[in-house]
Amino acid sequence: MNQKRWFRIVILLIFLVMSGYTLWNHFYHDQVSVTGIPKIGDPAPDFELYNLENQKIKLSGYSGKVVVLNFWGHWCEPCQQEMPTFEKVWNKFKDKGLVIIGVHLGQEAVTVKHFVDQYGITFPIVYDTSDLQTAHAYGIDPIPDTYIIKPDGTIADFRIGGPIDPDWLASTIQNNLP
Amino acid sequence: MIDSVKCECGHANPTETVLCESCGKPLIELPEHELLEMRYDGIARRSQRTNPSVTDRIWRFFSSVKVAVNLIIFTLLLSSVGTIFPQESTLITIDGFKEISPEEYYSSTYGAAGELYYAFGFSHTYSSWWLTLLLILIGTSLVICSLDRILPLYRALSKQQAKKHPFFLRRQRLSLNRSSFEESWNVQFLLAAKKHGYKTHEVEDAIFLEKNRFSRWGPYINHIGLIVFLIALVFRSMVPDWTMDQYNAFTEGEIRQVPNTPFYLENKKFTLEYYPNESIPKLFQTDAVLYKCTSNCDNPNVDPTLKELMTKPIRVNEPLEYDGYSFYQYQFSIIPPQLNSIHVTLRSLNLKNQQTYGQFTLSLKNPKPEYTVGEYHLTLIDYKPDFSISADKKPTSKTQNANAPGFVFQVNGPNIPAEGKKFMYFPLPKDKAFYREADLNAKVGSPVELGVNGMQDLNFATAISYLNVRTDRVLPWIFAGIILFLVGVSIGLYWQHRRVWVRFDGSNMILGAHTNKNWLGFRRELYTILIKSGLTLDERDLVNSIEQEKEISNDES
Repeated sequence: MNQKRWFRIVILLIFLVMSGYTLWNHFYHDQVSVTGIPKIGDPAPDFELYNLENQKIKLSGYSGKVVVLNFWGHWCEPCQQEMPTFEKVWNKFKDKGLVIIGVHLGQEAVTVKHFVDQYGITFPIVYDTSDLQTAHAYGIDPIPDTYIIKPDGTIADFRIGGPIDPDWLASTIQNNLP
Repeated sequence: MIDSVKCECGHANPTETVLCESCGKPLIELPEHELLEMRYDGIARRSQRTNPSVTDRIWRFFSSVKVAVNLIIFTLLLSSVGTIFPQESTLITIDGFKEISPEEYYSSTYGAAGELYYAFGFSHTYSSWWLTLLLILIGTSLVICSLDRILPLYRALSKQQAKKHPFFLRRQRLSLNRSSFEESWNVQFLLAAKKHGYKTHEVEDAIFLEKNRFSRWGPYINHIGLIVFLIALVFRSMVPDWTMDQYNAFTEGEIRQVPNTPFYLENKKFTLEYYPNESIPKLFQTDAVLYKCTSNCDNPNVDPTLKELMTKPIRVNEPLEYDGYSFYQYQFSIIPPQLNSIHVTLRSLNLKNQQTYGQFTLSLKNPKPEYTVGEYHLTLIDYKPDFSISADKKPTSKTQNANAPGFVFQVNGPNIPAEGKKFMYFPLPKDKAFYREADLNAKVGSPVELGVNGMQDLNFATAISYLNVRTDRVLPWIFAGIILFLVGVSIGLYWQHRRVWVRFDGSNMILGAHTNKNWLGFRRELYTILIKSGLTLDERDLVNSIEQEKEISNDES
């Protein structure tokens, strides 16, 4: 009798786990892929991309810091115009818990490296994958786009288009610094 | 708690057993003038127990066939709603770019109904959590229904007694009673039964014949098939890596990574042929080379290490297939010729008595940073695919496309100062003239320049081929489930479990027979066996008198 009860419990548990997994799977994935573009307060989609020095940069590796993600392209004029603003802000806050990552939409290594030299950019620049997975995860369409991520990994605010307003950038960073 | 009911034959039966598992005598009061209900051989189904606990109650719920049927009907209704409008998954996105957002698509194509359809999530019915959950519930019900019936039935059928209670025999649908018979009849009867494929079992005062017991497992085999099928479906919607259906663009002459796979694919050449004097394409074909990336995959700083796997011309309905992945020709677009790469020659700037130093291939998409040509070493300092001068007089690129490619190289080598010399290269003649390449290079004192020897050195792309990349690792399991289901159905349909019990009480003989379907066929077979055994009877004599009475009353009314 006891054996039979355990048998039943095990079978029912198997189906319970399957149901639970379905729900978890659905609602977990909902946050990133089904609704598409992350909103303020959502966890920022993680990524791991190569920088110009051939090192892998992982977004989640910067938890505890304010991360500014700037999606840009070497051909985009507003991106070129706002670069000095980011460089300034980077120099001001980099020792106070700020990371700026420039995500380049494309893998034109020679062009990007020259651009970075030309504009004297010192914050990390990474290349998105060849099929722009990171840009898709953030729902990027026109560039530039700027996301500010809180130390807990959720999105504090974002701006679509540019050039960026330096006051908004500086104050949003300051409000979220650890 | 009473766990068992003892029959007069001495056998202890589980509670709620209808017919004694051993002798077949009814353990509960049965209405008179009724045939015995032989379903599941009168065993107690496992869920029917006294004092149920919570587990037992849940178990009993899922054990009910009524619940199973309701679940199936509900699932069918919901899934049929999914066929009203096209599913979201049928909207094609190429390389992640949707032509239209699903929300917009449903509202603009189907109006308010479409908006509701999208809002309620029917636009992705088949990957929805609620349909998956229903499938899991059906699976639970299938497993529990089967377990509850198959285990006791198996037990009952594997320990059948030859000698049954007269009551049991008299209440069978086929039944025969003879008051006198000869001793030798037994032998004749067993012989005839064996010829008809029966397994015979003889004990004192009783004979038991049985054939095709396996057909009783048919329904359970088809349940197992359904469970395999359901589990495969559930996994299909839960594990995204097991299925893929994506569309990617492959420009002619380009090797690109196939997203979400370990593969790179090269569109070597795209061929388009039309029917004569018509604008309908007769053929479109992508000469594809499939590679596997072994290291440095998707790293813009280093070239990936690629291993060639196979080459195949991909045409409509002739996909390239490799390791479960299929690449189908989906669409194409003919583009204005676009420079892919140039086979350039490094030569001296001196026009009189010009010397050439060697050749190399310069790609216009993500060109390599370093080149060695003869004794010279070239470093690509900057590359603007769409060269122009910005408002603040800086060289810039208007787009990512190689519409006006411009290169800045640094050359090192014989008779060149250690810091090297810079020079520019504009492959297209219009840019060469507009930006005065020769003058610029002479001004900076470059001893070399790049050039081409003719059109044969230019490599153009004229088409983009769109391929549909698919894989479905769950499909074999779905097929296995279907095959198992069909096997189970055929076993249950084309074979019948036939049993005959004979009991002797002195010179009196009672015969009872049971099958689960095709009674007329069974009656004819039993009649033939009895005739062969030497009995004289009419086939109608086998019909139980209770049933005969019923038939008569039916005829009268």
